Amino acid sequence: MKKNLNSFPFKRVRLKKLWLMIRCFSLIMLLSILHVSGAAFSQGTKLNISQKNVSIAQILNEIEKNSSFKFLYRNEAVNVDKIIDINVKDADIETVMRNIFSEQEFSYRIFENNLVVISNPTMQQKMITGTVKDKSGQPIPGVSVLVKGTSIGTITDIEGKYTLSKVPNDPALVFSFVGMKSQEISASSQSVINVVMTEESIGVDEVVVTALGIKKDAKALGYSVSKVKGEDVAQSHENNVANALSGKVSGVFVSRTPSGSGGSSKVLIRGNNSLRANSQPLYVIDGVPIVNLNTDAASQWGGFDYGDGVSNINPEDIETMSVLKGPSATALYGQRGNNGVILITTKSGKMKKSIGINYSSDFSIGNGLVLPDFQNVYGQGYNGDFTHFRGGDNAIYTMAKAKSLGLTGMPKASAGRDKLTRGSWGAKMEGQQYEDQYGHVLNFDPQPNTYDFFNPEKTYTNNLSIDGGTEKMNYRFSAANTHNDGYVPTNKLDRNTFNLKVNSDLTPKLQFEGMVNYVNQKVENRPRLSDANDNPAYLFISMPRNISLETLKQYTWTADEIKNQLGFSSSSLYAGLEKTYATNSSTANPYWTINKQHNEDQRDRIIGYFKLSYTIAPWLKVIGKTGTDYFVDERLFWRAEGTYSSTNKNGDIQDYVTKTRETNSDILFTSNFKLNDKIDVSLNLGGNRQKFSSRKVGNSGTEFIVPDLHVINNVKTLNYVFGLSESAINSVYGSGQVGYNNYLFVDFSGRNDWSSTLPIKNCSFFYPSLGVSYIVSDALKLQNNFLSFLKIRASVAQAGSSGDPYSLLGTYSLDSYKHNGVALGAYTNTVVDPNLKNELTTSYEGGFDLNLFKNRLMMNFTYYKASTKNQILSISLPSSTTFSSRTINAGEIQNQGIEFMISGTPVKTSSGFTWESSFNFSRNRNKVIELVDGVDSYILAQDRGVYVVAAPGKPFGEIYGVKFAWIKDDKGNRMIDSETGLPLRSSGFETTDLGSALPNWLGGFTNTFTYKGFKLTALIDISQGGKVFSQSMREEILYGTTKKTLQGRDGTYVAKGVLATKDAAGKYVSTGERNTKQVTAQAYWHVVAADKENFVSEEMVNDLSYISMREISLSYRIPSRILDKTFIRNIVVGAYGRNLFYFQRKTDGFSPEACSFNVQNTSLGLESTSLPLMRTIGFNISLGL
Amino acid sequence: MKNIYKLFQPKFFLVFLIAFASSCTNGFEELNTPPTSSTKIDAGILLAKVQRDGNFIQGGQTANCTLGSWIQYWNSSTNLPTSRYVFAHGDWSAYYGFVRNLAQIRTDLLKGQESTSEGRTKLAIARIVEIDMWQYITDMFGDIPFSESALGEDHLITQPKYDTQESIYSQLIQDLNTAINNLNASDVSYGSYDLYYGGNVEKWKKYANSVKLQLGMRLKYASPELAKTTVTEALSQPLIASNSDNALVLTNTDYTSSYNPLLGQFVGGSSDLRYLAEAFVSRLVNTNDPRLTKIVAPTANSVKAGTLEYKGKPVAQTDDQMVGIINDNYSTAATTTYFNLSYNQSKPIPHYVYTYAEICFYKAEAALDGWGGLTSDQAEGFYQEGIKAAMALKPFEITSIPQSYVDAEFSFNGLTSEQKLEKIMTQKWILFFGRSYSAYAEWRRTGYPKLVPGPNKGSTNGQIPCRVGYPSEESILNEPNYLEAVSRMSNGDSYISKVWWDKKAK
Repeated sequence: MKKNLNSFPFKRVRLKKLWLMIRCFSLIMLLSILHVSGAAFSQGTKLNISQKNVSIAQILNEIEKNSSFKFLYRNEAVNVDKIIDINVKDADIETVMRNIFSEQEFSYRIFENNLVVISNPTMQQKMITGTVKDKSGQPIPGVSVLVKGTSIGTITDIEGKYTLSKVPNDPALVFSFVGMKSQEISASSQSVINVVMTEESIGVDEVVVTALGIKKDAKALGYSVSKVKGEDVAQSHENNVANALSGKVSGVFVSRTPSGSGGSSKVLIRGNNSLRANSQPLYVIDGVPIVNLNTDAASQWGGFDYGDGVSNINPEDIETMSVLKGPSATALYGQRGNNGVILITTKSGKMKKSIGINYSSDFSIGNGLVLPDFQNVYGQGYNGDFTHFRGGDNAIYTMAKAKSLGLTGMPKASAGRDKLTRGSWGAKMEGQQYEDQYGHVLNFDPQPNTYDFFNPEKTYTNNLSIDGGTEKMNYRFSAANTHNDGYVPTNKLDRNTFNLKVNSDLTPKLQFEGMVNYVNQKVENRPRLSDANDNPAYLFISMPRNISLETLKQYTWTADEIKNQLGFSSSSLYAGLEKTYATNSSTANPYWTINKQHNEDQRDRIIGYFKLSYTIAPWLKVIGKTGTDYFVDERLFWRAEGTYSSTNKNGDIQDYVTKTRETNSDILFTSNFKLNDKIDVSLNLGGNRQKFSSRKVGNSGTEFIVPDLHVINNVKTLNYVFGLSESAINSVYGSGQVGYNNYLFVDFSGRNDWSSTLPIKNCSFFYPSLGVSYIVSDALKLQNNFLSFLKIRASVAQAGSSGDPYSLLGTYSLDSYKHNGVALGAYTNTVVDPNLKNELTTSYEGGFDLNLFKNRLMMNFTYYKASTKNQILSISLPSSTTFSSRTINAGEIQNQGIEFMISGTPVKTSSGFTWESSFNFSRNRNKVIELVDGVDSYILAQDRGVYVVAAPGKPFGEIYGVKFAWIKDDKGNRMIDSETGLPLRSSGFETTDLGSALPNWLGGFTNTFTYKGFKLTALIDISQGGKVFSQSMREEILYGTTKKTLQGRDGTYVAKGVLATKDAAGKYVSTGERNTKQVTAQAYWHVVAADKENFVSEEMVNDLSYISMREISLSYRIPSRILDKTFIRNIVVGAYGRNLFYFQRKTDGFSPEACSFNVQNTSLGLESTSLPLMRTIGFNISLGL
Repeated sequence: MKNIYKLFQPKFFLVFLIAFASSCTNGFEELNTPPTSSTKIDAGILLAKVQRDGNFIQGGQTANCTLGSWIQYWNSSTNLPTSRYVFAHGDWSAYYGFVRNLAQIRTDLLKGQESTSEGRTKLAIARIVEIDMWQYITDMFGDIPFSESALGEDHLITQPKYDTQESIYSQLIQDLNTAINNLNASDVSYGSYDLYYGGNVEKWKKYANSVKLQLGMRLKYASPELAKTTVTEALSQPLIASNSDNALVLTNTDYTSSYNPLLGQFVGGSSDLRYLAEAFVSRLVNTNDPRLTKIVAPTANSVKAGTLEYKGKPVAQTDDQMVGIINDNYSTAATTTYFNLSYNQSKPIPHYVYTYAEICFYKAEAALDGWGGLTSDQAEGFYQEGIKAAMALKPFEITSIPQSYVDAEFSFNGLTSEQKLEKIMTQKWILFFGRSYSAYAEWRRTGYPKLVPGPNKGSTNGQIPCRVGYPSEESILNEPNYLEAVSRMSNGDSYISKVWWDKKAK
């Protein structure tokens, strides 16, 4: 950590780049401003004036008479009585103005019709003072008072008093304070403004963004919508926005792959609705659904996490995120909203006098939070000794033989692929000399720091935004650069995002809004995940504890090493080949991996839309909108010649490009009107066309011809990579709301989809929703000091979904290779259903919102039940049918659960100290009701004899081990063979239920303390229950690398259980007597796991429960009075920590929330040599100009 | 305000909806047509793939290290638990996949053309290859889903029941007879897609009868009557009559996937899975078999020392025995032939599917039993013919067998019938190197060559496994039928339950 802090927070190069960016984009911004407000005025008009001792007023009159210019100014603002001399010839209006006002501070604007408006900033200054009190007359200190649209502001003192100087004319003052309703007061001519602030009723008058971007009063909703503020997202300092939701929103479960920066996240809202690969929500940015595909994800046998769609979003651009959880909230998004919708609203420009500039910079450094629990006592070998011996005659003997012959020489290690030679079951490491498997004479020392191979992860983020606007238009531009040096050496990410958003009233009735978000991301050497040789964690986890990084750093074989090596087949080695420590074909040297293998991917992405709204009548608007998400992914992967596991050891390469495009076009009529005094109505009617296409083209090649030239045309065998997928959905929808007396609201919607992925006869399907909310407190006028607000709500909704393209026809496809010129091909192993129909989720939810003690304490509660029927499933078939899966409408999955949130302000003192606290809880119960006749279970995931299935009557994601099982007596005690002292295993494989992979309940506990400019926030993230099967643990046990295997190495290990003896029939029977027989730890652990496929599955199950200190952040806003005299509007400095520690953790050697190798259901419940989750500490500064 | 009501009249909505909906499904069908595959394909493309993959699978690293190590060609006992008799599930999905592609020819591509010249012979050929595949599956596992499997998509049974091996064999023989009758030289055949015979129907007839001979012989100890009838019928028809009739798949080194599977193991596999087993190497060494140097490489340490030594590794050793093993003291497969890329570039070694030598050895066996009109005095001649045919194969191409070998191995003089059988089967064992599954079946059938199991107890109490375990997915996805099948087995789904035809006392 230490060595990199001195470069904080800037890297010189990066700074340069940033300034270049700023310059380029300032130019663009200027152009756009000029375009809007600076329309062609009579620049060409030349003026000639020569006068002495005249007042400015006279001169202006003169010009007005002799030209088309007209001047507009206020007498008190501009001193036009001043007597001056002027002499200008052929001057343009600007020169004239500068001459006239040479000694005055002034500003002017020239409009199209040659109207010149003159103002004087210095003359506009006035002073406003006042006192801020609460309803009871107590002064409130620390209230922020801001002149709207400017950087002028202050906060109230202990007595609630404030003084604002340099206030422009006609100011609007904004008073804001935590827990209080913000107030905006226009102070046209007053110089004293006293304010009484009232408590804010959060969640009551709050406006939330709902489906299709329609803003609604939170109180009018019949379903729950959770809102996360942009600042809270930014405060998490997560590179992937989705991770910032962790612990913040009830009912939302976030996990991730430990795949470094640029990796993907898994967000699960109210549990798994669907058995299909991915139950993730739809992300919608300013109304544009984005593609959140996680393509080419890692499998149990390795792969990369190329990131998802949402990871490209710049957190700093986010104004708010709305989490729409149930179908009631998301019905209007149709099938893609089936798993919930996350609406991201990006920041817009604000009206201001000049441009607002915000700059922020962030640096963070992270390291592994949980590392494998390695033992550092015993080294390479077996039976507590070395396996081989180099005799004085230079010959190699087995250790046993050397001992029996009493040879002189030195112990020698051997390479291998199994626990015998490459396990850490050998002698104690006490610095004694030995010859390693390559022939080097070394000291037999423990290597506790193998994870020093990795680097601290460093992230630099710089953000610049410029915004501004007039009454008629506003704009915001942002540029951000993120640079990340990954945990795995040579892994790095560079991401630049540029975002431009413009709103403009083209005419009083016609509004334009447009946004372009450009993302350029380049990642090099993403870490390989799961059970793959080039995943460094996979190697380190089983590597003998005496092999040093120094030994591996020399990553190619030398002639001497080949001569002296033991264990490899010498004939297959040559100098320059990748030097591994194990002999099997799927092994690697991590230093070779980072130096002689290369993967890089580059993404260029444009997300953009434009939108026109036309006000037909005051109550009726039509909105047309088209948006697109288009990205090009270029991916390159090669392994240099000499890579041990590559084709023929001669290297290989993949090079391909994927272009993905989703376009959405909408037309929407919206109307709001009052039917009478009591009834408000809003109605929306619209249509949508969605098109998706993704096309992958490229090549793969094996065996390089010219060494060190790693390009696709330099290979002996070239093969194509090709993929194409297209689909479309057309929809019409309508929605509306009827409000009665502002306390009873009825919401309804209906949508009909036509989906290309279904047969034409079934492609049209309709689904409705209905919601009611009743504000009891308003309706019955119950408000008092105790009860502030009570609302009850209920809704019912359906949502349809239509599955993946090309599921209707069974097809033949050709192999990519021919055999002696003969084409080869095969029929799909999936049985299709040409009569597929849509799946349908029906959900009910109900709940209440309750605020007490003048909104100091707030609660909301939701119960929901959703069931998805007719799921379009690809059901696994036994291979004995000759097919491996079948696509069919089948099954019913039910989710029901509760979500609860309580929040409030326990402490708020007059000195300005506030403590806000909130706790959320959610619990989802998932049950597979039925699949289809003749199908007992649906396999979600599998890895080395461990299956994660969905089976009727069981929760989704039950883990089964189909491996050996302990033989137990009636009381559940493990039986120990009284002869050997070792536990008894089943003779064949048995199916063991290992528990559910899903958590019981989730919680988040957030506390925020504010005092003056300080703000301290802490988030505790809780997940309880759920199991995971750890393949890492199996490796660690097998190879004796974990601390767990230390006890009893000397032969004093006593296996827990009861003794059993064989009865007459040869069957083991429990004696009921506790085992006391001592065995070696090696003998015991090799009953638990004897090799990669031969183990007792229940021993590797880990409990996923955790309580994590997810975030702590501290920020300080420098008081504005200090900045008063500077050009800086505000400065906030902060420090934060993420994933700091666990209050509770039950997993062994890995982080429970980040152990999957992908974000799909195919890794549910499975851990496989994961890289550690990062514990990150960061610092940031933001400046507002 | 009136306008409002007008606007939200159902009529308006309807117009809007219809206007939108009319174009709603435009181009959908085209859009949803799979872009990278086809609904029709030449049946030969499927046949070729099964002919290649369905046979190459026998010689791959996995096959060699499991069944190939039980039958003691190879030794991977340091590495793979299965080779040390520790129970594991076998993977049968590949074989059922081969069956799927062949079944697709009869259930889809050539359906309805059973009696036309376009379909009849092609269907028969596909059926013959399918029967081969079924025989491999049932020989490995025992009872398997058969009658309720491979019915095509339209008649899919999601949980097929397990048929007894006995019923499967009798059905396979019937099906084969039908297929043989449908082979018609004047029909359209597969041409170059047929990797065995280039579409030559006469050769297919020989091959089909040879398959029948094999089916019949396999039942010899379980159902002697059916075996005898089947063998007798087969012997009366044209069989593979010389090495030029051999069914084989040519290999090449253009592409990784077309390598001879043994070369594939050398190029892509693990270096410590390349060692041969003691029994096999000793047999070749002790008899001065002229094939020795073409099959076995001298040990690395003996090459270093200058005195070439050929030595196989002992199989199924215990952990303690294996700890000190020094690989360089043992032999891999020959690095001058199978394990040599450039040798294969100039003289690619084909993968043999069914050779004339096997016919000779079957005939010798039938002669010993006096089946099919053959008499026991003919056995020796067939046996010698078999050895000669085997030696002539690539990569040996031995045309003049050393007299010492002829003297020592060719004669049946003074041997009992059982001893003669042992000699025949031992030669067949050497012939089957690279075809571990075939060798394992024949060893279980006859008990020859006599193999001594390794010392590791494994899950069999130290006995060589008698079958392969059903895959774990069956116990999850086809549970009721799986359990029913398991209940029929003497020792459950284990390595020590025998398949039905494995009846000979050994």
